[in-house]
Amino acid sequence: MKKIIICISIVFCANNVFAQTVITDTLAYLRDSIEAKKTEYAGKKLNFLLARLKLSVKGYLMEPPLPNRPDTLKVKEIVLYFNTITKVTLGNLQGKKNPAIIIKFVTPKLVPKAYLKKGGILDFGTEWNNTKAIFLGNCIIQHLNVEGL
Amino acid sequence: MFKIIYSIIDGFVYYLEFILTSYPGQNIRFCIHTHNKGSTDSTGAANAPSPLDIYHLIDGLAANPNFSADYVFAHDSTEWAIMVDDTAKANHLSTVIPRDSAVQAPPFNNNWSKTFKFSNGVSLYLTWLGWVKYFFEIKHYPREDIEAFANVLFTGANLNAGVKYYKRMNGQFKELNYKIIYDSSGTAIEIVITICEQ
Repeated sequence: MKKIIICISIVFCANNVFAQTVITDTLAYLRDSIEAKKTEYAGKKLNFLLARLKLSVKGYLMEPPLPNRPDTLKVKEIVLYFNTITKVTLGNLQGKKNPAIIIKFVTPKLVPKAYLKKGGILDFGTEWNNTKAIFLGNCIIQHLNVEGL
Repeated sequence: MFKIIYSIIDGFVYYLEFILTSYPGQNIRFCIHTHNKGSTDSTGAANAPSPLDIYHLIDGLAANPNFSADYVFAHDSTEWAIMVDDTAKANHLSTVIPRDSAVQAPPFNNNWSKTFKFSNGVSLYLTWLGWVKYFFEIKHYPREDIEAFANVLFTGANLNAGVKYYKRMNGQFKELNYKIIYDSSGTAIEIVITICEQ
């Protein structure tokens, strides 16, 4: 019984340590662990990438639901940031680096523009969240690359 | 004058150019065109002046010093204009980022380039798209103005193009501009689009 408890404790601690891995150098992590290994993600679902990322996605870009776009958008790619959109855009203005992962899907995801309106389930006026991750999670990655290194 | 032209060209002609002689010895030269629904690609045209329009203006000015403005009548009944207000900046932009580098695949894909990058490694397109998202997410500007506002900011703050944007409101063309708000340490913390009421 003691051994079982010790084993469980070790596994728990190991998981905890893994989960608490803190990436102190975002640029190096994205360059060495994502960009350098990007072929591993081709053909996998977006979920696969999201589950392995050791950084929290905070901002994202995709085709915007502008009035001149059709009622259903064909989302071919998505860009994930690890900073808020305010920090990314204002940082760009001052030449700061804010690397992003640009992910192109094998098949465009059809997204009704109504989903993206204010208060919609994928409200484009809000940050990245679980609902958005779940909605796009099954999209198959054609290729990805890290921009802004 | 514009109303007459508008009724003739709306929905039929993409680019038209007029030369008006105001008085002997002086030519006023400008361009006027429509942005029809779906006229540039399958996703539909923007209402406001596009990247290609900006380069059409800048390169037109380089070819003819009297070429000064480009007017757009959009499918949503909005009216826009762009003018070069700093020729040196416009010429510099055209030299350091020529049209074919700045725009994806003119004239069929009239968006900012995904391959030409600023010094921080971010493409023109993603930089511009970031402003679109910022205006959606942070500023909550009207959706019909966001693409234009992003171009105002992008051409001014990122490209330093020396181009002014105008939108017709209440019968008058009003200048669109942007204001960058900094904190005490000099870090940019907010952007607002301003409309000159003069």
